[in-house]
Amino acid sequence: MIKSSSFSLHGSLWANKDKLFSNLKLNIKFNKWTIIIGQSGAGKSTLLKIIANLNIPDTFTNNIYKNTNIDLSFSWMAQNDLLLPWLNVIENVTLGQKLRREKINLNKANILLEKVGLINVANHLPSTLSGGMRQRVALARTLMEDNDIILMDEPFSALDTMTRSKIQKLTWSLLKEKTVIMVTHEPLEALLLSDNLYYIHNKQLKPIKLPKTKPLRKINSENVLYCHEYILKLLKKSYTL
Amino acid sequence: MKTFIKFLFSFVIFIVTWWIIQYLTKTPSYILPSPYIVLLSIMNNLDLLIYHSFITFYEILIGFLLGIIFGMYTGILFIISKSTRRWLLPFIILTQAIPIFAIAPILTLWVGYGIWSKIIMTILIIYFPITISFYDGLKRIDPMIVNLAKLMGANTFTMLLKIRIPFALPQLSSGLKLAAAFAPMGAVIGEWVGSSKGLGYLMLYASGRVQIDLMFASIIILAIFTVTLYNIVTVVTNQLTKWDPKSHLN
Repeated sequence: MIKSSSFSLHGSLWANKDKLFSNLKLNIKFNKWTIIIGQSGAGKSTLLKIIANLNIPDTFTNNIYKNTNIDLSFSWMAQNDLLLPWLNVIENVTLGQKLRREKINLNKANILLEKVGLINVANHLPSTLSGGMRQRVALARTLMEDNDIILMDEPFSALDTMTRSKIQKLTWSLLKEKTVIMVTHEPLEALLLSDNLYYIHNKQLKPIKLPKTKPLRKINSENVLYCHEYILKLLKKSYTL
Repeated sequence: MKTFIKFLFSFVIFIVTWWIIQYLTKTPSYILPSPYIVLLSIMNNLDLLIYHSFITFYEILIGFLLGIIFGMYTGILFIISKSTRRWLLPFIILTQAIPIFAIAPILTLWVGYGIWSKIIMTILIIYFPITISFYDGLKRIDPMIVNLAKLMGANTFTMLLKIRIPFALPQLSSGLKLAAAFAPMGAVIGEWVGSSKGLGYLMLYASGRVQIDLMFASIIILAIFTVTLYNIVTVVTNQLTKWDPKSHLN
């Protein structure tokens, strides 16, 4: 379906009178993970919403346009898993088909639940699951939709350290072939997962040079640790309290 | 079943307390009849009570159902149309500012002596709590869930039916319970103001003839009906909000 190998974003974004992005340029490569690091309130989530054509609050003004001639479909994964509390796990995974009144593909849903290791709780309500499990349900739901682009808004930030690392690995292994745009404020997470990495500096997106190794990078390699230090230094300069 | 037993237990305690008070203070039965005398009165006037009860119950139930339909419809309108919200909301609050007793005679004048003035009274009393609770529930949804459903290709109708309305059910439940408790009031006030049948009429009739036992009998029957209606609504809403741990305190 997707013919070109990338699409790009251009434009500026204001919140009230404050400029958040000025002449933003961002190139998104298909089938790669693009990650943006930035401070809270820097407009990261709003940028994702603009990419997905979602409504943003009236306080924002934006003239960002997408340089693409194909109709892209989007999935959304956020810190809050956005599961519907009255639907059980399998119903949440198949929600998209139900909303579009399509035939529900239970077979595929079961295979995906197997992949994320939740087949034994398929009939449980989200409120009975742990945060990590809920995020895995959200992952299965994303896979079920199989959209062109997956937008991730700090998807792992609500999880404890051990769970986060496991879910990062699982998410990466299941979505590595996909086009992912993620925003985060975790430099290490960004470093381990990204094919292309940017940080927000002076209302622009600046690329960060990554180690030559491919994701999923290992935290214990020297290159990665060195790069982590480097990113922290960069961010120190761009962050304001 | 458990709810019913608890309810029965409270009811027995209430009756016993009433009896003890009446017995100890030796209040004459034309001021406070004992439960036994009221029971006798219920037995003696059974046909009369059944006839008038059914009329009142009918008015309450029709008013209750119509009030729920109108209230939910308005709540949905408020969510999907900003201008409706802006124009209709102040008017709805205004209807609540006018005492219901003041509206009752006008309603009787307009729609007549029959059951419809009582049904409209009931609707007027419960319309507000249902509209407001449902509207509050509808707007409380996480906007990202709405966005997620949009990205999944939901249209306005499926969004309402599958996402927004289920999400609003815990709040709507509070409105429905308030409505169940208030609905009988609407019908009875309507009957007081002008009617020739119904429990409200019977109360006035009995009071005018100093048949305090019959008046108490009417009140007891109305109270039992109200509590039953409330409990039925609670059972139904508990089923609808099973998924919401906050709706179920133990």
